[in-house]
Amino acid sequence: MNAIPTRRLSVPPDAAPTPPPVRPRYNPVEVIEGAAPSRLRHVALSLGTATLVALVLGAHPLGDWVNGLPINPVTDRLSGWVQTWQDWTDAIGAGRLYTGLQGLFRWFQGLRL
Amino acid sequence: MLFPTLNFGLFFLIVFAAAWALARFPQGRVAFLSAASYVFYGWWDWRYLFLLGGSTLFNYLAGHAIVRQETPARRKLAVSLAVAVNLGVLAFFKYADFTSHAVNDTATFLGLPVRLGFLDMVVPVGISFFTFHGISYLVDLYRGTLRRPASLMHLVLYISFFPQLVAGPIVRASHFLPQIGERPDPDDIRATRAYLLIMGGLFKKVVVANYLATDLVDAVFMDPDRYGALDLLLATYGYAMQIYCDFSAYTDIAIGLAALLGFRFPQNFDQPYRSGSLREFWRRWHISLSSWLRDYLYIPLGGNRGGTWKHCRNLMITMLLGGLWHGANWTFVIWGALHGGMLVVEHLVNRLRAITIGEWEAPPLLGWRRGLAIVATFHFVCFTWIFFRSPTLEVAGRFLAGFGRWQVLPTAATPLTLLLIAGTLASQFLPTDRLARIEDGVRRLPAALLGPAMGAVVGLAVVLIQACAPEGVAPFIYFQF
Repeated sequence: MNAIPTRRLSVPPDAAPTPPPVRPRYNPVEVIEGAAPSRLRHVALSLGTATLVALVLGAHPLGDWVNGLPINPVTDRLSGWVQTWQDWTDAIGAGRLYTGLQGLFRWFQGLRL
Repeated sequence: MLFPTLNFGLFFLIVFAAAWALARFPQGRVAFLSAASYVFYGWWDWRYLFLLGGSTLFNYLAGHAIVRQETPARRKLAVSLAVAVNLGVLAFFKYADFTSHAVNDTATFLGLPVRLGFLDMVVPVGISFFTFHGISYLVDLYRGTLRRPASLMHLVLYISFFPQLVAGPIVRASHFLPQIGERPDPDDIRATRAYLLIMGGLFKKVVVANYLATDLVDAVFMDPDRYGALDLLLATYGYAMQIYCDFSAYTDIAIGLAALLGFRFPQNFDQPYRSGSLREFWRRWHISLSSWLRDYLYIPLGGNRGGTWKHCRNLMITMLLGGLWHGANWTFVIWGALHGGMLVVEHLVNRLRAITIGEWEAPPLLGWRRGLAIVATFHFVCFTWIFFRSPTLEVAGRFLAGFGRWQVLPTAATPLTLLLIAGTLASQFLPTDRLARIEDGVRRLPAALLGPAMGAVVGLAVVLIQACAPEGVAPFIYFQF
């Protein structure tokens, strides 16, 4: 099975078959080939749900992002809203998943051999 | 604007909503996606928008000039000139200072009073990629793969489409332009596959590539003299996994984003570290670039025609230029030369094997021989990454010299970095239909629950990845090329 068949060539090397010339060809494999199709309304619903879940569970990074924006009256107001949102998600316990996982990961990152 | 940022997330949600709202108005949709792509690119530095726009306009005019020529010789001349202009602009931005350095060094060595100045330019992000797209358009037009020149608006979108603009995959004009002309089908969005690609890409970039860089690779490559052989070996493996995760993450996310907007991109990575030969490696690594180099450089040079010597010469030239494309540094030249040299050796060995059995191609290795070949290929590729990653040849030399320090105990590796290296390596041997299998499992959910369930998983995954992320996100490695 694994052995490569070898035998002495009975013809001189010049007479051995030569590979055909390589020609330009382009028939690329597409990663999404054969993937199941979804309808736009399902995709829109899933993106909306994803955004909502990320906002509820990820209020802390949202706060970090807002704090990194240039300071002006609009971002000041936005910062206030995000702070209120963050307090609310903390109050219902949604923010714990983020901080808990972050703490666990930092602990593992800090381990040494 | 980097993919794994909230800025980009907001940008994409707006683009997604508007692009599908304009689905019934093809011209409006193309114009909107082009404008969004220019906003995306201008986010880095708006001044380079003129370069992008100028390159597109030039290729548009050159395309018309090529098809207007009446004789094959004149068409060939026109396409050659147009490609030369594209390459000239690329060379100016990427290699002007490198050339000055080389000329000055040579002049000093020869004792000549020559001193060229330096421009100290920042290479525009993605210049290689939009130049390659321009060349693909011109050559496809010349070869007849594209039947007629694209409209200016279609060409603007082809060259600037934001998912692939700055780091690929390199999408051929003949593959993408027809898609722009099609009306997108809102009932045929490959969303589940797209989400899997985007989530996987985010994890590979934000967690794997970033931590391998910050916790292992950067420190060891910055000062290799401080480390023993085991640390250097782990840093080499670490960089092999880092660059794979970094680059494949970008293209996976790009493919996923394009799919959500109704476009199809070619595959760019196919578990490259499971390759049993360097030839196979280049069929699995940065597939869109290697096939681009094959079709637009290697074959015009003569390819495998004209005997063994010319074949080997063409392989070497292609890989040397492929190496130099990565940047104006001798380390990339050495990297390309090593790959070219090994491809030549492989070709000669395979030719010998083929002649021995009277065939034109040697049979593939199987069983334990293939296992050995995979290990050997992986280590050769890792060896070449040392040159690729080192800032200078001198650092690469010190890095290689460090492999003699076997008595020094390892200090750089941590359980996290070891886990990331082992996990990434193991992922190379997962079944090739892994995405389809996951997708099948997901799609067993009732249709009404599918959208919200997918969304909840995507939202949760984004938060979990963000929780594990280091402070800030490093740019993708291939942005500099």
